[in-house]
Amino acid sequence: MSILNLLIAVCLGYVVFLFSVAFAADRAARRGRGAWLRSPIVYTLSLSIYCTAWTFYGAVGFAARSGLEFVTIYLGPTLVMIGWWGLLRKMVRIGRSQRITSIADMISSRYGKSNLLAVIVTLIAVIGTTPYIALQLQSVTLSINAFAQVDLPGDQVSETGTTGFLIAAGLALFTVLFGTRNLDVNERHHGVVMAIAVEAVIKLCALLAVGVFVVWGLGGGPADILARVDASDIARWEVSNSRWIGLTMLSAAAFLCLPRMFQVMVVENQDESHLRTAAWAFPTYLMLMSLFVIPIAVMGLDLLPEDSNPDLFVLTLPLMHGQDGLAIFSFLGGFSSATSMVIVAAIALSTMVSNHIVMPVWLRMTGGTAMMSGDVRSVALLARRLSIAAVVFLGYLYFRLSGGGTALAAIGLIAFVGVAQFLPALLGGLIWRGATRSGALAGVSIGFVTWAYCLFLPSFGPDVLISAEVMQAGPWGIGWLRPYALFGTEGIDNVVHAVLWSLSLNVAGFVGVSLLSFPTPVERLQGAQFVNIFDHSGTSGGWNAGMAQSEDLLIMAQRIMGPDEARKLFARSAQLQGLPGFLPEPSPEFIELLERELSGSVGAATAHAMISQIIGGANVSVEDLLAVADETAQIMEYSSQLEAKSNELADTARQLREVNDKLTKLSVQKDAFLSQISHELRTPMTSIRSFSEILRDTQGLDAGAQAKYAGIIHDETLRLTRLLDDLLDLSVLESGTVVLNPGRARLGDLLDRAIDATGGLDARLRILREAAREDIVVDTDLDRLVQVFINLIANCRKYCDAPQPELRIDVTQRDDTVEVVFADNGTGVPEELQSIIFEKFVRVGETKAGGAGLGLAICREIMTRLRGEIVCLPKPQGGGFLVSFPVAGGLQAAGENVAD
Amino acid sequence: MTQAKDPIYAERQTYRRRRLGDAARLLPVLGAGLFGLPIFWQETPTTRALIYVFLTWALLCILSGLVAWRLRADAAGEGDDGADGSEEAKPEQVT
Repeated sequence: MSILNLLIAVCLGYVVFLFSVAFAADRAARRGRGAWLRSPIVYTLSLSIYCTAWTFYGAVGFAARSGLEFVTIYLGPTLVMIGWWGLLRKMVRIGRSQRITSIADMISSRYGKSNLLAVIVTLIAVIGTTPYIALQLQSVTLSINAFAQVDLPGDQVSETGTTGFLIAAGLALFTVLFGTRNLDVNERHHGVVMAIAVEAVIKLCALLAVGVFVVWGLGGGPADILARVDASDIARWEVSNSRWIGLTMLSAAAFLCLPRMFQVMVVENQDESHLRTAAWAFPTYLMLMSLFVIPIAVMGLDLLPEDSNPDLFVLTLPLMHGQDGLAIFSFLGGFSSATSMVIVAAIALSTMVSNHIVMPVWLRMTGGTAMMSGDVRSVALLARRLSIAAVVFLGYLYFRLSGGGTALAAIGLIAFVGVAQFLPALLGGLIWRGATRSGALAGVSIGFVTWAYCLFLPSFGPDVLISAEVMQAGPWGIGWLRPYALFGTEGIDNVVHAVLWSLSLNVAGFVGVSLLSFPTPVERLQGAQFVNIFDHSGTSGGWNAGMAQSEDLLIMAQRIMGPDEARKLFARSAQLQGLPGFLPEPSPEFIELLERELSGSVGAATAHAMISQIIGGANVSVEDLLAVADETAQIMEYSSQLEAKSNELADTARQLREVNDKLTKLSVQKDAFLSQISHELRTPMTSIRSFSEILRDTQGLDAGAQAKYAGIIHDETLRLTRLLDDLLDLSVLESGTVVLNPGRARLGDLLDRAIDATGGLDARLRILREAAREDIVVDTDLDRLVQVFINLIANCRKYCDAPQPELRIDVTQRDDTVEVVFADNGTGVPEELQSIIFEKFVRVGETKAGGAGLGLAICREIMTRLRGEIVCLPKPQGGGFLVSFPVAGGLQAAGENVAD
Repeated sequence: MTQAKDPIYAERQTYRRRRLGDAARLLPVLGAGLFGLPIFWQETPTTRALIYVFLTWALLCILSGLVAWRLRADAAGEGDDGADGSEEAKPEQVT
C-alpha cells in the first residue's frame, strides 16, 4: 500500500472522526450533558483557528526566507489577548448583550443598525476571505502532492483540481451539517466548536512532534540547533524595522477584525470569564506553535535539496527521513488547520451574506413585509446554507483561476490588510461616542479602495489587473499615485506601505466625516450603549409600540425562531408581565427583547427592519422625540388649562359669595327700610291725624293756632307726596316707561341750575368749579340730568361731615363722553356700602338726614337711560361720584330697556 | 453615570481591584515595548533575538496568567465595582 493511499485512508478516517466528534458534541449539548463543552479551554482552543494552514506550513517557509520575522504574525494576537481586560472584554460584552451575529452586524449595530454599512463590510469580508480559503485548499493539495512525489517521483500530479474540489465539497457539507443546525447564531455550534478544538490540539501536537523530531531526532538537541542557526543564511538579525512593527500591528488588527476570529471570539463566546483563561492560554498556544518554526526551517535548509519548497518543510523533513507516521500526523495537522479555518470562515461569511444581503433582498422582493406567508426560518436557513456553499465554491474558483501560484502564498498578509480596514470603525465605535455612520462608511470605503489599489490589485502581478505602466509611472503618468509609492513614499515594503496609507486615510476619513456629520437618534442611542456598555447593560431603547399587535409579532417570531421557541418566549414574557395566556403586552421592553432574540437569528439590521414593519416604522426618529416633547407640552398645556379653570371656578365662587353678601345686605337694608318707610309714613301720618283731630274736636281755637296746625298738616302731606313721588319716579324709571325730553344746553348752565335748586351758594357749602371746562354743549334730557346733579349736590349738603364742607365739581371731556366729578372733602361713602349705595332704600347711616334712600337709585336709573353711568369714587380722591354720559345722542327711546 | 454615584475614595479591596484592571490594560503596552526592543539592535545574532523573543513571550504569558488569576480571585470574593465595569458577566435577561 503506497503512502499516498495510506494517507487518503487516514484522511478519510480523520474526516469520519471529525464528523463523529461534532455529532457527539451536538448530541451531548442537546441532552444537556455538555457542560465540559462550555469550558474555557474549549473556548481558547477554538481561538486557534487563527493558525491556519498558511501559518502551519507557511511560518516555516516565512522563517526560512526572512528569519525571525515570521513571529510578528503571532506577536500581534498575543498583545491583543493579554490586553483582553481593556478591549476584548468590551467587545464580548457588547456581542452578548446586543446579540451580535458577525463583525458586519457589530459595526452596523453600532452605527444605527445601518444595513448599508453591513453590506459594505460583508463585501470586503468576502473579498478578503475568498483568497484565504483558496490558500487553504492550495496548501492541502500541495501537501498531498508532496506525498505523491514520494510515491511517484518526478510525476507532477495533475489531479490538483479534483483534490481541491473534493476537499471543498467535503468542507461545505460539514459546515452545512453542523454550522446551520439552528438559525440563532448565538446558540453555540457545539459540534463545530468541538471539532475545531480537537483540530487545534491535533495541529499543535503535530507541529510539536515534528519539532521534537527535528531537534532531538535529526539534530543534536537545542545547543546544536542554535549553532546551526548561527551558521545558516538567517544567522543575522536583519529584520526591517518597519516590517517588524508594521506586521505586528497588522496581525493584531487582523486578529480583531477577521470574520472567523470574530465568530469564535465574540459570537460563539458563552461566558465572558472564558477570556480570563484565554488571556494566558492562547498566547501560550501561539508561543508553542512558533517554538519549533526556526529549528524546522534551519534543519530544512540544511538537510533538504536546494529546490525544495520551504513551505512544506514540516511535511518533507519527516517524509525524507522515513518517518511516514510522523509525516501523516504532520499532514493531519496541516489538514486540520485548513479545514477548521474554512469551516468557521464559511459560517461567519454565510451569516453575514444571508443576514445582510440575501434576507433584506428577499424581504424586499416578497413585498417588503414581515407578514408574508411562508416560513422565514426555513428561508433564512436555506439562505445560509447556500451562502456557505457559495463562499466555499468561490474559494475553490479562486484557487483554480489563480493556478495556485506564488501570488496565492502572499495573499495571507494581503487579506490581513483588507480586513484591518474594519478596525477604525470597530474600535472608534467602541470608545468614541462621536463616531457616526457616515464617518464609518467613509473610513471603511476609503480604506478599502486604498487597499485594493495599493496592494490587492497589484498582487496579481503586472498587467493582470493593473498595467505595468501604471505600476511604474502611476496612472496618467502621475508619479505620486504609483500603487507601491503613494505620495512618493518609496523604499518601504509593499505591505507596510499599504497598511500605512490605507489605515491612515481610513482613520482620517472616519474621524473627519464623523466630526462633520450628525448622527441619527438610533445611532446616538447605540453609540452610548456601546461606549458605556459597562455602565448600563441595558439595550437600545426606542420602541414606541402602542400600535404593535402581539399576535402579529408572534406570527413573525414563529417564522424566524420556530413555533415552539417563539411561543415559549411569548408565554414567558406574558408571565413576567403578570398576564394570563401566552400573549404579552407589546411593551417597549418586550419588543426590545424580541428584537434582540430575532437579531440573534437574522442580524440586528434585519430584525430591526422586520419589527419596524409591524410596529409601523416606529423606531426612534427625531419626529418621535418631537412627538414625545409635544405630548409633554400638551400635558403641560392641559394642566395649565385645568389651573385656569380652577382659578375661574374660584373667581366665580368669590363672585357668588360677593353677590350673596350683597343680597344679604340688601335684604337687611330692605327690612331696615320697610321699618324706616313705615316710620317715615307713620310720622307725618301721626302728625296729620293728631292735628286734624285737634282741628276737628277742639272748639274755640284761635285763628293763629288753626293756621299753624293746618300748615303742619300741609307740610306733612307735602312730605308724604314727595316720598311717594320719588317711589313713583323710580318705578317709572326702572320699568323703562319714562319719557325723555331731549334738549340742548351748556353744561355750566345746567350745573348753575342744580346749585340754585339746592339752595344756591351759601356759606354752609363751598362749591369749587372751573367755568372754562364746563363750556360744553350737551345734547340730552336736560331736566333729568339736572335732577341727578341736584341729588348729588343735595347729598353733599346733607352728608358731608367735614367742618368746612367743600364740593369740587370737575368737568372733563374724553372724546364723546363728558365726565363730571362731584368730590367733597368729607369721609365719603364707607367702603362696605360702595357696592350697594345705588340700590334702592340704601342710606348711609341710619336716619340722620331723613332721606328715604331713593335718590341715588333714581340717579343711576336716569344715567342708564341717558346711556351714561354714575359710579362711586373710592376714597383717595375724596368721597364722591363720577357722572359720565355722552355729549350727544344719549337719549333712549322710551320703553327700550337697556338696564338688563 | 455610575461614576457620579461612586465614592471618590474606594475601599482598599476595590482600590486594589481597579489597579489590577489598570495593570491588565497596561500589559500589552509593556509587551509592545519589550517586543519592539529588537528593532534597535545592530549586528545581533538571530539566536540571541530568538531566545529574547521567546523568553519575553513566556514572561508575558505568565504575567497575563497572574493578572487574570488575581482578577478572578477578587471577582469571586468581592462584589462589583461598577465604575470600571469589572463585574462578572451579567446573566442574559432571557435565555
